[in-house]
Amino acid sequence: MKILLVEDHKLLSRSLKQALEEDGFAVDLAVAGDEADAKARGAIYDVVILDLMLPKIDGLTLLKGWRKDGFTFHVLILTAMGTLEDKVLGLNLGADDYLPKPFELTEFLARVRALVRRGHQAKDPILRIHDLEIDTGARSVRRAGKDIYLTPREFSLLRFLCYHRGKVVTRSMVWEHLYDENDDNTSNVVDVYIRYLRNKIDKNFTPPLILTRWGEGYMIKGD
Amino acid sequence: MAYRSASRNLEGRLSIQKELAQTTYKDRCRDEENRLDDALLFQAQTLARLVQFHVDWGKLRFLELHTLGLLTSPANSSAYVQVPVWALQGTRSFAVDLFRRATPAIRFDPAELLTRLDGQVAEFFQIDTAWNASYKSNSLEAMSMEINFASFAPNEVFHWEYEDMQLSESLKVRRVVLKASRFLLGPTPLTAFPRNRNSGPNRGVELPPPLRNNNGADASFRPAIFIQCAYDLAKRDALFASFAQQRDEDILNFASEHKKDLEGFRGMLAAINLLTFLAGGGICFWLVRLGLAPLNLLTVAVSRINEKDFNLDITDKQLPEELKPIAIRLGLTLDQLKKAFAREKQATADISHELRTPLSAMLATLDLALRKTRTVEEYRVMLEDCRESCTNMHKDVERLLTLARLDAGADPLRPELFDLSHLASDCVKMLSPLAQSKGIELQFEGEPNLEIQSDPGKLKEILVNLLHNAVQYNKPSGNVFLRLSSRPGSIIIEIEDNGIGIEASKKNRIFERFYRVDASRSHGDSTNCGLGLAIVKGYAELLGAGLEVTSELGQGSIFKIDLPAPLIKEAYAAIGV
Repeated sequence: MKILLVEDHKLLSRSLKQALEEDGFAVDLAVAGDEADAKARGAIYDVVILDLMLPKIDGLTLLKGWRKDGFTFHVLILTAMGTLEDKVLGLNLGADDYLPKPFELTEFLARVRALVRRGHQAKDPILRIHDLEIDTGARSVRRAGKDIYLTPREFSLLRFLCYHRGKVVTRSMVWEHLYDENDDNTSNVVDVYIRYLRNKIDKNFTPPLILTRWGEGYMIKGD
Repeated sequence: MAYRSASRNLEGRLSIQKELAQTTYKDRCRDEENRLDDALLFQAQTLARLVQFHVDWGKLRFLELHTLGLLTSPANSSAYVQVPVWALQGTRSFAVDLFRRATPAIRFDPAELLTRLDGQVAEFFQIDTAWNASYKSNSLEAMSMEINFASFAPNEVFHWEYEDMQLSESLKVRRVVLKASRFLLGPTPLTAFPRNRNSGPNRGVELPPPLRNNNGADASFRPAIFIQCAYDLAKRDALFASFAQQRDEDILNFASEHKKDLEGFRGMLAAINLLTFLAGGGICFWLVRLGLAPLNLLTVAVSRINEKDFNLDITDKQLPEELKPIAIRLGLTLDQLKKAFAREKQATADISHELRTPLSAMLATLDLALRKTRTVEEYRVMLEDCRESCTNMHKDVERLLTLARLDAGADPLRPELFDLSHLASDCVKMLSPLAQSKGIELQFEGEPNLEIQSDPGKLKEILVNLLHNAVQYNKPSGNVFLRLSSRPGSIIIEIEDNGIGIEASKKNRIFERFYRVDASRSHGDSTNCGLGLAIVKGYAELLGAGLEVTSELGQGSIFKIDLPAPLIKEAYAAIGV
């Protein structure tokens, strides 16, 4: 689950990035309009969090351009301009959600998660596979009634696999969705995290849920 | 006015009518008098014709004189002109002689008299003769009309005179005295009485010369008869009174007519006035409505204006020339208002953004900190971040308050005597750490001990802001100079940098609130929200200082402040201290 955070206030972007990462999202940052445009067009994002008052190119212009060019990622507008007109205008231009500043961090994260769910046509925040339950809201995982602790990365990987259940997920897909621009491009990391995940989810349970498709990637069992 | 002149005209007409009535009255009176006089005279003449003298001699009977040929009047038929004139002529002296002796009595044929005098005016008549024969009408009774024969036209043979006389105490009459010498006739009979009103004989009538006795013996004898006819003046006066009454009635009629005319005219005038007033009122109403129609149009257009739509929805063609300047002025004002609203909106948005963003950052950081248990180091970093954000917000709030106070005029000057050089070097020292951290050299050049009378707090704010900008928007290893130089009456402060410079098109806007040349905070921390230069400008105006910018993109900028402060030393020198 990869997110582009477009915000020019340093402290805010830093805090939001950290919060999102702790929730298991990969976060790319952009502080100016042109930079945001380049990143949004050059990578795959589940959600773009967009401030409107930006240096160089303002947020609404960016949004219009993206929607015109067929980009379908979800956009959450995050702005100090919170009047009704501003909200209506933003939503009418193709935004999926609108959050005026200042806001509660929990609300912000909930809205981001909701947008991610919407991207995968999932209404239920709890993903269930066999006896495995993944609560995307509470960021908790249980199997056969036992709580399992996962790091943000592990959780992120598991959630990604679950959203693509029954389908093969390639290493590059995992890479693109789970790692931000600052991570080194070594696809080994994916294998390492798959092993960690297997140790926590499959080791003491049957049947194994994470399957390996040699030469292709990984897959979580469908129903 | 019209009424007055018309009423004057009517008054004139009335007075003319009155005069006319008066004249008519007088004419009628005169005519009546004349008629009566004529009638009197006619009666006298008739009597003269009819008078008969009765004498004793039978021979003289043929001489019974009806009338004399000379008394032929138009009314008289020829029946009485039968006296053979030749006989009379031939027997003139004889007749005279006869008359002298015989004193004939006067007689009338009563029937004749009645016929002749029927319907005439004379109530009284009296005939006297020179020989004392006399005849009086019965109506005279005991009264008699006196006459002095001797003095009455002694030389005339035929003469009459009119006279008003008191017949008795209660009776006043008008009489005519006619003297006719019946036997002394001229050869040429008169065909008509001379119609002289007052006394005869008339000129133009050739009367026979007065008879003189050829022998001289009868020189004093005048065989004349004096006929007097009179009427009661009371009757005439009654007639006159009836005329006067008629006249008065006429005048009354005229007056009432006049009054009626005047009233009619007044009524007409009032009606005309009313009509004119109504018509005028109607026309005025119509004209005013016509004139106000474009105003209505304008009103509707103005009433459509609201905070979202400042366009005056009206075209020039719909308005008359007189209203166009108003509409244009209104349009301009609305434009300004629109811009002011836009500015206000922008400022609100800017303020919201400037305050809400760091607030959001703090909130997010604190939420993040509280989300789970963290290491001490993590907490410390987060708290430091929050503190920095707080400090920046405080600065922004202070700047906003400063501008608000400037707008409200609630920021008074606090002038005092101070050393500007010292203040400037203090500012440089204050910003040196920032400059050093960016590798920028910050230098102060200027005379020491420049004492001036000004507001040091505001000057410091100006200098710190400008120096901060000069350091902030500079290239790495750039230079910033603060120069002080004194001129007579003013001090020039220059802050020069060789940084990024300002585009010419944006130079005019840098003093606007929240304006950022590149709309970016990428040049460092978020301490600058675009209010610094607005404050600099406001303070410079307050201090009465000139503020100029010269800049070239990529080369650097110079901010020049012209402070109108007389140097204290110079001032002292000027007054010789």
